[in-house]
Amino acid sequence: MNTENAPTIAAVPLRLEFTGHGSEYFGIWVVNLLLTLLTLGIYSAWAKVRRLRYFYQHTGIAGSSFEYHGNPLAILKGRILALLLVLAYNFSIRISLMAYLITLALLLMVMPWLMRQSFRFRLHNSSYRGLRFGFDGGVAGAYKTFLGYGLLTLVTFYLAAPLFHQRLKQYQHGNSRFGASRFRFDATVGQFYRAYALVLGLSLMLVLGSGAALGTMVSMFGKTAGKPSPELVAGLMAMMVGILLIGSLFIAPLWRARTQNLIWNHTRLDAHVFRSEVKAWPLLGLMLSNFLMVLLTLGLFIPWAHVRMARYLASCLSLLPAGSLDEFLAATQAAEVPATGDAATEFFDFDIGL
Amino acid sequence: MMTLSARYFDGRSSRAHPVTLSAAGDRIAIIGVGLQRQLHIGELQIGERLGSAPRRLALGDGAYVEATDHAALEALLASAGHRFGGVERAQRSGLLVAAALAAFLLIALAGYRFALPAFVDNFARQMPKEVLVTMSDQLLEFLDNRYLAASKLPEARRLALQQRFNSLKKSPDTIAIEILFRNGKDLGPNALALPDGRVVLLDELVQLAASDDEVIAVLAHESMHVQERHGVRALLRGTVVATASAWWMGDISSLLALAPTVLLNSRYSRELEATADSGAATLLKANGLPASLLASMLRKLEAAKTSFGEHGGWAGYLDSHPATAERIQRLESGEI
Repeated sequence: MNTENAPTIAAVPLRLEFTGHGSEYFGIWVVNLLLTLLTLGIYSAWAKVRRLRYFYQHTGIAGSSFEYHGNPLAILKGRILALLLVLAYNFSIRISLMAYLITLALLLMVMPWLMRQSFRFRLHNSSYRGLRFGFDGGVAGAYKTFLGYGLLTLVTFYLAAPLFHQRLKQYQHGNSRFGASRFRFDATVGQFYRAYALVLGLSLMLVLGSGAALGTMVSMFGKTAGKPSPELVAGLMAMMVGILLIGSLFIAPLWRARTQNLIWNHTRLDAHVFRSEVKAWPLLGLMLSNFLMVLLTLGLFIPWAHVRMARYLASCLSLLPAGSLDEFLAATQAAEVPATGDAATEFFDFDIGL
Repeated sequence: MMTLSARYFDGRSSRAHPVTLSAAGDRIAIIGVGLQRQLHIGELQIGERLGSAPRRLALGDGAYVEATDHAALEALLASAGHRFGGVERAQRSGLLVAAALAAFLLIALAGYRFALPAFVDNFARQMPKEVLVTMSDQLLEFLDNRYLAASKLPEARRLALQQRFNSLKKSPDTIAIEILFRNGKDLGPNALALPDGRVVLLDELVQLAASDDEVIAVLAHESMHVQERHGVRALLRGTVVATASAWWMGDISSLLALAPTVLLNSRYSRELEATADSGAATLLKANGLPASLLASMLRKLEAAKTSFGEHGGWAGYLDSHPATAERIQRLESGEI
């Protein structure tokens, strides 16, 4: 790590590295499961902190690893709130259409605020070399992003999904900081549409192809006294859902690889640049083998599956430093008033992974 | 005095400072170039050791120390009077992890075998009549809108069937059954018990039967579903199993989370069918009718490629199919 005085030319890429092991994580995972079961789920907040701390502490760059500082009580509060929201949603359906619509509207109104809360909590509670990350995105930006572009996506039958994704990442990455250093995000909407094109095309082909094939089968074999038998239609419908689910298993890594690369290749921290090289085929192999092993072991492989995924994804991301990584400074006010500066942030966490 | 080398971060910049940690009594000293701090062991927030990652000691003002020599650091902290937590130790001990795994599996199995049926039983029994009626209304409305039409059976035949079923000798606590006659359009011969005691009987099933007694056998089977509240039970159980399996495997794949739900539920629905068969056989025998009536009806339905029952019904054909032969065999052998 003696690159302190190195000139800023000819940057050596610093690769992110995950050093965890499935066998280590298995112990943490099992103890978490048992305690969560024994406390009827209450311990899950503490379990989450242990899990994240394990993954943060084993993810490192330039000889140092990350740290997670989330407070389990704040996470528990967030989980109780989420549970209440889900219950309110489910009960309102049973009361009346009006109650349902009102609940839905209320949920839509609070969701952007909760998303912002979740970003703030996650970043404020992450650190590297003693410096905290932070999120400064405003409330107005959250409403514009999640309510505005989110609803636009629904109204346009997901045609605006790449636009929404770009605005979401712009809001998320463009408002993040490490200590006093700001992240910047400069991928354009056009680039998101290009990254989505292949994925959208393949999905469309899958839906139309399987639909057409099954339709032909129904009309060829399914005619009993002029009408297709309901059992056959039901069976074929189930088959179509199956084909779609399995097809999405193959398309998901492609989507993940393309969007992940686009997002990180257009994110920078001060003058430091990121490079992301996720490849669809290795990712597909990893996801499929994880899927099969989890299936064969009835779930006991889950810790290894998580570790393998974390290792691959970390190995795909590197930082091209524009200077020494020793020179980052804490955000001034955060350093002076660590306890009160983000009091609202500490209040609760809302569990959403984006 | 124990010492070990560590790294110090001041919380204000990202620079690492090499330091030496030492313990004297219950005080920990951190000494580096231009740096000298001393703290009581109680002032340190001692992070857990998770796997091979360095252990971190937070100094309370944003600064922290990290060290990778776990054995030396643990000895140093212990010498200063720190006691390590049970969870931290359990996570690393092979024996305790194995014990935790065994305990987890045991509790999960016991929960599935004993707690879940008890919960479902209690809940289903205490469900108010109004809720059952609402559920049935919704289900019936859905079926009527999509799949069913008015019955084409003559009024007299319908009345006769309802009266014949009402006149059966039953135990005093039996729930009254109201038959709803419908035409199944494309559905084929079938019957379906609604949770509140109404039974949808399709014209096609009546036409398939060789005698009214065979229809009565099917109604007896359906009435057992009502009596034992099978519909509510299957719903409750399905919800619990789906929630549990989503928790178990949901973060790896939602597809995987579906598998245990489908497997366990189809097994359960077969159990319910078997219970209803047994109850129907008893009811039929008490009224001087042979249980084989139900078997011959099952055989005809099998030939017509449907099978009746609340869940194994029209969509669950694939699941209940292999069990049908077994059901017929049980009914005909006089086993039940």
